[in-house]
Amino acid sequence: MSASGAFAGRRFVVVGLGVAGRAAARVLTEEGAQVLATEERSEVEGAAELADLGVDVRLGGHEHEHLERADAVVASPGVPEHAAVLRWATERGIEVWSELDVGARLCRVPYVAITGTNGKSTTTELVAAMLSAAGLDGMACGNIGHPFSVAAREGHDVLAVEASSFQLRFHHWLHPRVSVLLNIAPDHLDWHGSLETYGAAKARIFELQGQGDIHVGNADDPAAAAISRRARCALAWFRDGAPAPGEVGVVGAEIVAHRDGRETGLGRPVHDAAGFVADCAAAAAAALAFGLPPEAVADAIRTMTPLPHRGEEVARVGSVRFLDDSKATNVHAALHALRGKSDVVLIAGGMAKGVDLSPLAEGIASLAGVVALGESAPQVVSVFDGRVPVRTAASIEDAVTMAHALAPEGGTVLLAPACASWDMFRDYTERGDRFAAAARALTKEDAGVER
Amino acid sequence: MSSGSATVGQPRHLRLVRSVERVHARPREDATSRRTITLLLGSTAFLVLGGLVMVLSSSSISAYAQFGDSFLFFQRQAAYAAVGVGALALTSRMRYRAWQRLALPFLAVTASLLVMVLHPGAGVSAYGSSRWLELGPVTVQPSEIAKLALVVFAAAVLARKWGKLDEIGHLVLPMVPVTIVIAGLVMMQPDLGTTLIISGTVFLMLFAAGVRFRYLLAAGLVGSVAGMGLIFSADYRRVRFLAFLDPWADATNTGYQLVQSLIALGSGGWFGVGLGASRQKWLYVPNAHTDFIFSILGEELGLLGELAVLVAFGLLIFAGIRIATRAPDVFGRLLAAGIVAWIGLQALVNLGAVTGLLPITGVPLPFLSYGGSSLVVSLAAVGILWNIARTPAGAVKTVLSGTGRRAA
Repeated sequence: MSASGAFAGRRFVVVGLGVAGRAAARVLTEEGAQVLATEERSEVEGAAELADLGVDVRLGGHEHEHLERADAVVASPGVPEHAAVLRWATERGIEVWSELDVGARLCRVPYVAITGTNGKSTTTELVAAMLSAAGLDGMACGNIGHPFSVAAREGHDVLAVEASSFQLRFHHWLHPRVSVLLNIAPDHLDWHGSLETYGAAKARIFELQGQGDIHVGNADDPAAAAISRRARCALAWFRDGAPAPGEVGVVGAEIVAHRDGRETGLGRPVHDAAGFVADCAAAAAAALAFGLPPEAVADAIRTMTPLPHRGEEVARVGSVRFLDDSKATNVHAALHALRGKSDVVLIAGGMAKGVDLSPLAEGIASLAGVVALGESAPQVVSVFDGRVPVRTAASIEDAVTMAHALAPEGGTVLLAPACASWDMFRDYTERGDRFAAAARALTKEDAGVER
Repeated sequence: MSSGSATVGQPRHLRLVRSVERVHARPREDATSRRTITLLLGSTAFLVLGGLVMVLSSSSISAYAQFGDSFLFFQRQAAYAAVGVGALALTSRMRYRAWQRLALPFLAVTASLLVMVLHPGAGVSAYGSSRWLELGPVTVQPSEIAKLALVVFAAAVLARKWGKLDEIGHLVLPMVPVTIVIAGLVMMQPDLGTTLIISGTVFLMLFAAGVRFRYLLAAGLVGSVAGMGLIFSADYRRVRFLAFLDPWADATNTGYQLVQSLIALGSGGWFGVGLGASRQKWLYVPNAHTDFIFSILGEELGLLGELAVLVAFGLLIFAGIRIATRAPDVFGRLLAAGIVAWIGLQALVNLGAVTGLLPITGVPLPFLSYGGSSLVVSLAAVGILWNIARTPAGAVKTVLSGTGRRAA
């Protein structure tokens, strides 16, 4: 780690002290800036440490006076676009930065940036694994949990940066050598207002890219592809199907690159969920564009296991499989999880984030039943009522029991809520863990009966 | 010259007489000039073939990333090399003195190409400057042709004014305004690197012509001030110029290319990481197959490979200087000196930039960097050198014949 004093003598206001906001405040201070950090909550983990570093920490709400003499405001990912404090900054003519900008200003090595509605974290991990397999010191960072601003100063050879639409909305400096737009589906509309502004935020990932840079787009997703075509740099495509020349695609269950007039196999992903396979194709396209040899790409694809809560089997009760796709926090991801499956009992519902759940009906052919859960349970019920058996559960444990009862012989219970978890759980991890625990408890009961 | 087949069947003594005539009529190829020609062609071939290998290695990534075809740049460069060898064969067989008469038309055509490239409809822009012209299926970079055209013109003018160069009027007109116009047109693209190469080459030709020291000093001073003025007149040039002094200060932006180049050279060590095994060519070094091909060469083939390239350039320049000093007339001497000055200066400016000794000005490495115009024109220039080397002293009547100032 090195402090270059890149921000010496400049005044920054960091708005929002989540993980990324705290990292930005610390990094800016260590790089010589004067930092004032403001947070709506009146208690924040790590606030004392920041104060010890010399950060002027102001808890319990944003004030006009916080912006006095500031050169730039750094917005944490959690701060809504229309938050008053950001409007004040704009009115005063103060630049509003994304927290990613702090990393972008400090990063001395090329980086791959990945955005999209679903599969960002998985693709980011995959790209990082491919970079490492090629012998580089590659690191996954960004929205994934390890802030870009921190990773940028750790002396890695190359970074894979997960960029959410929140973070992309404000950035001025993010200039990846390779950018990836995985897919676009309605999500976070409470934050962005409309699908148009959401798409516009995603498009900002290639805002600074030009000659010599590459953007990777999804040939299967018309909405995303339309955005990708606006990139002012070279384009590379991936798809979930046979690749055209220059593309990366999927043939059988294998990832295949069509380059220099022939198809090169890049290995079979260990997990055959449609979303994971598409993420592998996207990561492979990005890695090849970066220049990695196909062998390194194949190494990573063959060994990478999906992150938890992305559709893996967590239990089997008799002939019924229990799949945890708690990370499916929007309709697109839930439908993706249902693709190619039949006799599924779907556990869905939670916090809908202002999104219309009715497109879930497209998955009806795969369904043997639905268990509705959480705040948006009534909406889920109204989508499926009268078409398949529907139950409403009060807790995730109840939901597991009800779903098991509904599941036919050889069927599947799938947790793919299409909604956020924040109404009943701390996060999607807790929701998935409790789902898995309840399913395993059923396994034990089941085994006890048979013995 | 008599044809060989006609002598068959004639009495032996007649054949002998004919063959003696032939020896006299044939270009002089004594042992020294044969060695010089071998050196010239050998080092050129080494650099061109080495360049092809390195273009294949260093361009495969960006060719795939940009066009989905890893071999695209290599195939094009191989085709350009073939055209260049053709051009070399042509210029080596064409009596070099013909260039003296072609000098003005050649310069006029080049100047009009340089004007065309500035025209928004005709020129092809890249990296913020318009340097290329699309002529049918090929893209031509007129500033590369301008280097040869100006060398030929300068040699012709200085040879014509030989003996009068101590008079300031003859020295300045028309040499100085023509150089300023050509360099100015190149600067309008804008292409500072080529502008500096062109003016530096003319300066070295004046030096080779033995122009008085105080004139040279004045020209050098004016040139340096003008150069500095150009550098500091545009923000991006000033920042780039200063970046070479401390690339690590802004390693993400202005110093990025140089830092990545130094990392490549450093990772190469003594023997390199192996041909094709460069990592810096993975989107780390921008323009890896053009201006920064030497960085990738250094990474893959190490100090050993770098020294081989330096030695080859050294031998090429040595051969060129020897051709210049042994040239049969003033025009040949200045033409050879100009070509050597241009190739040597360009190699120096490129290698200096890549290794951090000089600012980065976007100049390709002769014979090695990807780029058709540069390769074809450089090979044509080698052909001219070859022709000068094999032209016998007696074959040319010059103002210098018998004056004793001739070098041969």
